[in-house]
Amino acid sequence: MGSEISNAAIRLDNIIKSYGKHDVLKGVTMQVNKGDIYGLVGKNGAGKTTIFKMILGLSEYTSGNVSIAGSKNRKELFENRSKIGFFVGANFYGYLSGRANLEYYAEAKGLKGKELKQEVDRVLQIVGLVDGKEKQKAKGYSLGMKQRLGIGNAIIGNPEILILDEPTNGLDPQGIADIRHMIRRFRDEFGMTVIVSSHILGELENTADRFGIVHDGVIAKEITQDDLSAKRPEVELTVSSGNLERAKSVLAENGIDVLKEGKEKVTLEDYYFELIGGSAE
Amino acid sequence: MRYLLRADLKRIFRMGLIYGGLILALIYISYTVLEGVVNDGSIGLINGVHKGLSGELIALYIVFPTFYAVFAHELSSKSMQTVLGHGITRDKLIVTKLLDAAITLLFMYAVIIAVALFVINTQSAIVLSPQQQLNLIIYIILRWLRHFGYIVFSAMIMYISGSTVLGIIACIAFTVAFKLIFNIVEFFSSLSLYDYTFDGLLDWAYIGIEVGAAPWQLLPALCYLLAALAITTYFFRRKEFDF
Repeated sequence: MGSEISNAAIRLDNIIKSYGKHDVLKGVTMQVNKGDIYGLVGKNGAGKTTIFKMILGLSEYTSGNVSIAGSKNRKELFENRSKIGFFVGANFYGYLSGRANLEYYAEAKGLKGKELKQEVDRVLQIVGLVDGKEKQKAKGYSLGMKQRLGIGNAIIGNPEILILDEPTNGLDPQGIADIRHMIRRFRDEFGMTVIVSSHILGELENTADRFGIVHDGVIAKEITQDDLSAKRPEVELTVSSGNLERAKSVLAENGIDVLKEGKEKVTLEDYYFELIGGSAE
Repeated sequence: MRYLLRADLKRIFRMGLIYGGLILALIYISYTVLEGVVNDGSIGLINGVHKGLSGELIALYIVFPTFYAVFAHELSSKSMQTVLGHGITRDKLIVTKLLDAAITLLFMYAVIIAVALFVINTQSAIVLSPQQQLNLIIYIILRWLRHFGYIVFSAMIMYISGSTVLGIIACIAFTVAFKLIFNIVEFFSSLSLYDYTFDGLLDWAYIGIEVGAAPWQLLPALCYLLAALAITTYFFRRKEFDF
């Protein structure tokens, strides 16, 4: 248990949040370990955003305890919030350029001079706001560019923990794919712990390692990728149409039953990317 | 907090409205000063500065752009949420924003004073006595305090209501209609309530300084500011922020 807690980037213990007599969170307990990509899934209004607000201190919880990066008291909790970067939609000044927005948050985090410029250039590259786009005023950006700028604001200063609230909301398939790729990169390349929420389950399925299913104000179930695999004891074997009969006879000869046979459909996403180019990866 | 203050000031001074307001303010003050000098020489110059800085127009040119530059985008940009989420306390955030306003306002006043001094010393033959100069400087400082007060009160309304528009309306109302409203009340009820307002107290404080009395009215005026700050932080600490 001790090592479990010491490995926790974020830990919530029995968090209850009430508005009058109405409990929005009814005892949320969850732990996100360092290096995890944790998917918080649930329908709209389930309590995902409220959980984020509790973590970020934007709303006071009625009871329970929040710990960030091992914080043991309120003072440490406040201090350790500086280790978090977060995206909550269009969090930028529209009248400033993309670059100026990043400079603002970099400066507010204590960067200056050459260090600030290098960090802003690095983040602009990561989120793909380059080739003059960074000089445009943010209010003129497309939705995809706004999301990228918002994520850029979140990752400036390379935070240890990254919180992304519905980062793919309203994006086109390429935009969604780009964000999914970025999320994996944040963990694999920059060592961040990422918590990402979505109400579209399929969006996170191939991105997160662990999932918390939020339902009716609690984490109804926590599952891992292994749990998902274990739920399907059968193994899928994909062969080309021409080899189907031969494969079946080989399996039959070896006493292996074929439980289900069907034609694999091309997903709409595959079809889309085949048509217009690009990829989901 | 100082990092946020620095970042905020750079952001604020990237807003064209500040410079537009400043240019209009300079044109207006130049006109009132010139008018005073032509009519009454050095006394006219002082009266011109008084008239220029005490009018509703100057408040609109200086106070409104400052309030707008500091606060107008705070809610829409979600920058407050971002800053709080990074661990800045709510009290520190409020104080930082008010310091932003105080410094921005001070900058605008500094430019106005610098231009005024330049014009007086190089373009006119008017010489002010040391006492006149001191009184003029005190007058300008009190004007700055008054305009800062308008911003503090408007910010209080904005933070409590969570509405930028209400904050802006309050700011314009304080700068343009505050004295007018109390004059109307006084006209109909013979109650001199204005004397007990923030504005009225600063007026009396300056009159006291002019006649050599202690400006004790500054204390209750400062209490108004502290009360507004206390009310703002009280409500702001309990505020629920949405994404």
